[in-house]
Amino acid sequence: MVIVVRVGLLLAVAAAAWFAFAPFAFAPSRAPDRLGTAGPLRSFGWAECRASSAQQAQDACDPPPVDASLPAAQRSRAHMERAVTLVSLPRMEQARQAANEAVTADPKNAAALLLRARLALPDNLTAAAADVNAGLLLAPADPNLLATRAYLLAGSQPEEALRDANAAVSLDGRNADALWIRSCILADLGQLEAADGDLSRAVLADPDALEARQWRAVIRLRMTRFREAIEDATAVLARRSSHPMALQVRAVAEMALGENEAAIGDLTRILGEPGQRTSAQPSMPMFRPLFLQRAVLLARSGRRQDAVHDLEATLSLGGQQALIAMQLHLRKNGFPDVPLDGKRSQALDDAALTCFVDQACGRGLTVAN
Amino acid sequence: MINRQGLLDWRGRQRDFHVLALTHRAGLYEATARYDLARRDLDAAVDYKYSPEALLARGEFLHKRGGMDEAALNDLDNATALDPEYPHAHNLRGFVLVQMRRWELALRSFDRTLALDPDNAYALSMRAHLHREFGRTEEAVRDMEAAMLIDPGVVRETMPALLHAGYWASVEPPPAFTPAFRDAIRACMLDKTCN
Repeated sequence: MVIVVRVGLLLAVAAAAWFAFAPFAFAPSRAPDRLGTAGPLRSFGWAECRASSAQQAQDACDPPPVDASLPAAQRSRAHMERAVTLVSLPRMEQARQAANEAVTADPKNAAALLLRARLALPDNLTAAAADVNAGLLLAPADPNLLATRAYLLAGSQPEEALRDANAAVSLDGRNADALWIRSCILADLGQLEAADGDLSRAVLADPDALEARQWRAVIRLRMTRFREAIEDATAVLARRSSHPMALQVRAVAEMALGENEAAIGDLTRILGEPGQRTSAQPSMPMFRPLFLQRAVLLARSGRRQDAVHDLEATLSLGGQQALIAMQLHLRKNGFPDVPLDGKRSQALDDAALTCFVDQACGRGLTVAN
Repeated sequence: MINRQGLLDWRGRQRDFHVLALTHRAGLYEATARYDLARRDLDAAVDYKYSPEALLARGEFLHKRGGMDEAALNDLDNATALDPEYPHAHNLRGFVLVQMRRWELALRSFDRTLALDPDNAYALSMRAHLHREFGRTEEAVRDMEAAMLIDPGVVRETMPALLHAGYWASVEPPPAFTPAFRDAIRACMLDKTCN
């Protein structure tokens, strides 16, 4: 039987845009990376600070200022170490200032330029690119700088990005971040087998690289290797039990395998019970499609009232983006007359109920790439 | 010169070689992160000849460096005052004003750019986003579709936003403007976070 679970909305988050993973990639991990040079997206671990969060947010745990009498190269390195500590508190603005001091103290310190570039991400891509390019003039064979530039180019210039990522991996074949970045570029280019291979190398090289394991789960989902996707997502969840993306990927794979109750269970771990207020709200883009998806699954399992509850949550709390996404979906799936205006209407409500709860969408629901 | 086109301005007039040399060298300094030297050359270019071209070059540098948009805007105001029919200056002025979140003035700059250079796809794209900011969906869709038809680069650059917003399932541009793709563009022109 053809799989009839439409997850186009869901996979818009889960299966394609690697940018969507940036918030997770930036989440602190405990992987050792004291100088923050392992790549653009690895974070620095947690600071050991006993002060309260509020005190930390002030300056209770800030490292002492750098001795201004140190020689330039040494002073630059001290500023870098200070920046890394500030990131882990986290005191990002102060960390950026420290990275800036590191570059000012020694403009030829390529590692400082890399650090400053990383701290400019994801908000200031132009400044990050300038620093990475300047760093590469000083250290053209630095795999971390090359991988970082690949990351910066990935969205707009995939071929150039791939060239840099290839160079980074050829210089350091065990660099988990470079492998992960190359896999993202390859996946965007549709080369899923090659992306999967890179991620397997990354997982072997660094078992702590959770993002590589998580991304491999997504890639395997896209390759319809559902069981393996579940294994990877489960491995991530063993380390971080409430990782929403891993739960989401596992839920999609379970749906594809017809394991609807398991999928409902995973979605409920993210969203809470239908009608229950949790931190996962339909107003948040990453959770929005999950409410709809669970509505479909709940309707299928005969829990119509719960399904209506999830649908109503999406319509009433999802905001304009949810309404637009739903209108797009309905227009493509048998309801071409639904207006595309981002506004709630009776026509939209009726069509959504028919589509998602009464499962009457024109072409049904398919696992989409 | 191997390519003499570089010595001509957008109207086909000969450019001032001294200004050209200084702005080019500033570009090389900028590319190698020697920003103080780049700034010095651009200041020298403006001092040597207070021309729209030199002001545009310095304005662009100040804009790209970040945190100096007021100074950049001042240069671009002066450039457009010296030559009101200089589309590049109006266009960059629009980008600077967008950065400063001065939407109404930015819109006027892009209007002026497009009056002088109707096929400037990036000005059309920016104006589409500004129309969106003001809730003028039909105008936004019209400009964005026009930009995409003029320059496939705009399509390619828009695809990640469509994908990320969940309005299109792939980062690959479609082979044609299908109804579904037009719907996706319209969705993006309704949604101010689709960037």
